[in-house]
Amino acid sequence: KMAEPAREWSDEQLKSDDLPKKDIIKFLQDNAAHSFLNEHKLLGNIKNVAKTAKKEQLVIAYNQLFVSKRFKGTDPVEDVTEQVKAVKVEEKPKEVKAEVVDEGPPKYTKAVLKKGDKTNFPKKGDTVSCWYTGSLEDGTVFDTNIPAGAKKKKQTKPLSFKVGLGKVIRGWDEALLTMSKGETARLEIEPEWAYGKKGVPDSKIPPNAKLIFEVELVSVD
Amino acid sequence: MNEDKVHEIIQRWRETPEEYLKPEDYQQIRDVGAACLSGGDGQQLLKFIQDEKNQGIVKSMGCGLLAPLVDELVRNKKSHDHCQAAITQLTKTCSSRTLLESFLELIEDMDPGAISETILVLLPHLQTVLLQLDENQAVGVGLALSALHKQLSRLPVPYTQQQEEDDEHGLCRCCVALVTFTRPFIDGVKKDENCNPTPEDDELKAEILKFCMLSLKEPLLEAELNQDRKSTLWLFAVEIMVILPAIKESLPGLLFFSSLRKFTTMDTDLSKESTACLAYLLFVQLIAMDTFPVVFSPVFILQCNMEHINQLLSRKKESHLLKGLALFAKSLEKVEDNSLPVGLLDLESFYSAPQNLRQVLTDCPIQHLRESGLKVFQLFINKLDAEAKHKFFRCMLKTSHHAGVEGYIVNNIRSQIQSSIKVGEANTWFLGTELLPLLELVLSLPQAAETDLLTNMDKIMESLNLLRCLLMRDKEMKSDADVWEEICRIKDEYLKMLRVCISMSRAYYSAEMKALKEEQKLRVKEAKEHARSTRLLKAITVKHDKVTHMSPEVQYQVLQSALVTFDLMESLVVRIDEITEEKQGKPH
Repeated sequence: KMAEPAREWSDEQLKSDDLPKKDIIKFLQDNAAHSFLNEHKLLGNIKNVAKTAKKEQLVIAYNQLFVSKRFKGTDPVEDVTEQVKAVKVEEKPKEVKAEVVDEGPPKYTKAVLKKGDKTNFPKKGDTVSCWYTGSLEDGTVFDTNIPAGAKKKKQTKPLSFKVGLGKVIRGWDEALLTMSKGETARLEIEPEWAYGKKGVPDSKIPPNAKLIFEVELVSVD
Repeated sequence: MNEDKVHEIIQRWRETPEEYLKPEDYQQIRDVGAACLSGGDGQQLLKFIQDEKNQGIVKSMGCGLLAPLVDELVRNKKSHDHCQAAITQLTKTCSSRTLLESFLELIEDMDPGAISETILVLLPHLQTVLLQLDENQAVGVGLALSALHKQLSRLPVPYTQQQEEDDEHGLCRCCVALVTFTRPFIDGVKKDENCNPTPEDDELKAEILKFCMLSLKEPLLEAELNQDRKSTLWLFAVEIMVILPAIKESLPGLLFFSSLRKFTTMDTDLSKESTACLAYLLFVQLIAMDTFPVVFSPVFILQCNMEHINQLLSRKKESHLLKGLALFAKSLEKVEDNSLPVGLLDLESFYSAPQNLRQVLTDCPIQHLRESGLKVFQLFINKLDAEAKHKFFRCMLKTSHHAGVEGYIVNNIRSQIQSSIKVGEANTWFLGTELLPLLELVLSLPQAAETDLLTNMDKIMESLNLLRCLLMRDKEMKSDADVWEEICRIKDEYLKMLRVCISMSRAYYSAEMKALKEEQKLRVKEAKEHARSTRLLKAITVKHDKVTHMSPEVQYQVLQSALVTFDLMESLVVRIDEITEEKQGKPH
């Protein structure tokens, strides 16, 4: 239980013009029980309370507080309500990062076609390079970066990007973090972790399409 | 100059070794050649160049004949064959290096009235010369392309289908010709990829990339491109998109990861506008879309494109704005509604692009752009998640200083409140304590009691509508007593101020109206007196010299409609008061 606060101001001081309303309000808000404040209409932003409350009312409230001894902590369940109700009204809402809630099991499967070195696994933010071929469930290949002919592969560069940062579809971000350098895997990605309800009409991916990728993790930096 | 004199000079030249030839000689051959051509003796000139005995002269000074020959070809169709043959001969005989210099000079000095004709004439020959260069070919190609592009960018870009088909200034024809011009160099680079690319190849690739970037900015960024109508400039765009991978430039590399590389041969503004155009061609016109990797997340694509969108929306040109709006819409359509997190709004481009968009809505004189802009504006709002919407609305209400935009935002806030209530969540960004900062911004008059109600009408009416909706839904709103109390306080303050404002405005406008009526009465009286006193003279109509340029009738109408507006506002306020009373009377 909190110790009773000291009575700072005398009646004369209270009524004086030198003592601004907001000082009294602040004291009351800091020390009075929530229900007390509610009854005396002293809840909310100090500026606003100062606008609506008259000096006389504040003086009365101040005296009343010490008479009734309804200080903070004297209300039942005070602590919880205090925390909840103490949100100042005019403050800007805090930046709350949208939490990605993991709901359920991963929405992709991986089958290893060729083992990697099992040592070099990429971490979030690492740059990875891949050869890949993407196809739909019916076998249609919609994209690949593997050039025809082994000779050309020497001149072409694999796709590079920073993994785990949402630059690619989620199925890729999640799967690549489980692959090691040199590994080739077949990924079957559910639409929720691919292009979802919209698909990519411009690239011939229909809505709600499950995508199949054969990915070779060439390098990790 | 007569024929004998010419023969004399030629003879002298034949006998003079190159080191002893003077600048006067170089000038003279040029003059003689020009005179020959203008005199209709092109055949003679050709003979001269082809004559074995003159090969020495041609080798040292033949370049001087280039300009007059090109000039003649441009002006005179009849001399086509022998002029072409003459230039071909020059390209075989003269040193490629000096020929290149002459060509570059020619390009720089060409007649501004005959740009496309000149370019079309010299391109094939210039190509021959460059291909003959055994060293510094890349530099030569680069210089040629830059010089040619500089002249090309002086030509006006067609903006209607008819203009493009007419191609009056030859821009489209030149673009096609330039592509043909670059082909052998690109093929050469591609061939070398199979063996071993040399530093020269890299240089050449860099020069060709520079040309592509220049072309993306001019004319492509200015052109109106439409995939349904594959015009010449559209085909030019396709060619550019084909050249890029041929010189090993990947589209993701150029569009998404360009901050990681330095375009050493170009200034940043050029590359920003060029890549913005590239993004437009790829994502909106779908050129080369089938070669673009299908692995990137839609939010990432939007994030990258926002820079390009911002670039396009920052210029006050219709061609840029159209492309910017289209790219914006296309990128937004790829993401799910209510999905963009608030963190994105901290990115510079995500802050600036909507601000630029807002400026289009408020300042752009072109109606169809404002209309498209509004659609994109709403689409952007729809894609933001609740927290992001909240932040965006606050931002717009604070920064737009435009009642139309503010009114639109308030309307959106009302929709959000209504849908939050429907969904039934207790604590969202549009109910509970989070609503209050928004309400403070919505229910406020910028200049308190002196606010101009007419300019701020849109916002005020929407705010009153929002208030009315809130009060109708009091059951849901009252679930949080403290919040409701605050809402009522904000409402009361606002309505109090608004009432004062309305009565002040009404008083002012009524006074104005009264004054106008009095003035009219006075004028009529004066006119009658004047007519009486000048009955014997012809009636002269005196023009009313009005400072406002509005006739009294129109002025009266304006004042009248202002008063009607105030009545309308007041009736809404009264209605709100009625609802408040009704609700207070009802038991909880």
